[in-house]
Amino acid sequence: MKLFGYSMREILLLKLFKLGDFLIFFIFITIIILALNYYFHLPKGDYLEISHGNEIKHYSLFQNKILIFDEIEVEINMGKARIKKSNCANQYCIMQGWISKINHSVVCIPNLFKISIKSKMLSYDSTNY
Amino acid sequence: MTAQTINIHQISKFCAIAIILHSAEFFFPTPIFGIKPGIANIIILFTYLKFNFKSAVYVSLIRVFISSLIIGTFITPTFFISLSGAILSLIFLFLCQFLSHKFFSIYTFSMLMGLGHILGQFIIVRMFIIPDDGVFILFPIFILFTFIFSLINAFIVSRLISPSN
Repeated sequence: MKLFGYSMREILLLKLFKLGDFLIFFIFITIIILALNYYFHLPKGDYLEISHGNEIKHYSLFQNKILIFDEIEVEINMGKARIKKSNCANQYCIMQGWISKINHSVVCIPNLFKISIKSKMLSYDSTNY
Repeated sequence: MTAQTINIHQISKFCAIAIILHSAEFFFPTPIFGIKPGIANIIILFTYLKFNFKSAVYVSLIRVFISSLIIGTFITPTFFISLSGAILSLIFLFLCQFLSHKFFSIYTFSMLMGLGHILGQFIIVRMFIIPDDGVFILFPIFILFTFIFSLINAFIVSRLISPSN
């Protein structure tokens, strides 16, 4: 099989690539694997941050509770949370479903409402300086 | 014509190609928002190999400014993301000059440029546009596509440099 005039053997056997390229390949693939590993194993959060209007409130995630704000119902179920009911037109916030991983969040723009999962360990959050 | 005018003529020719590619890419449909092949980088890498680093800087920056004027994103967040990506990828290209050409080919150059591009974009987005750690969720997807597209781009550059097999 020929690809752009090169045989597959030439492509594979250093005709195009030089030795250092494989080093960069290796580093790049390591970064990709580490990033994907982090992506699929995100740490779970510790508490739920709800910002409603100008207020910010914190709730523990490890409880079963339904919180009622003016137009919105938020459900917390042992480590995960969701927006259960809302009066907005498109209902996108409800379609987002459950969130449980750190830094994930659900917003309801018409109601200026946001829930997000946070961790107690804020080691790499530059806004906390 | 003196050597300098020939050089300016060549640089403007490559600028024009880069602007066309960059503008065409903007209107190109992508399955995931924000993932683009970065075909204008082919021209920047080609300019660097054919002339020197200074010409590549000219082509890259002129491309960012002019194509943003054409598309209509001048001084919008899109423009600043594009500019920071281009600047960081040029810094990476500058650092690539010190690598031995015996061991490192244009594949390394292309991959490091792509990495610089993605890092520059992420820095600007995290600092000014979406100041939330949530943006790093996208990082694995972006770095994966950077790897794939920079390999394809480098292959195209290698074909452009030696078209006669």
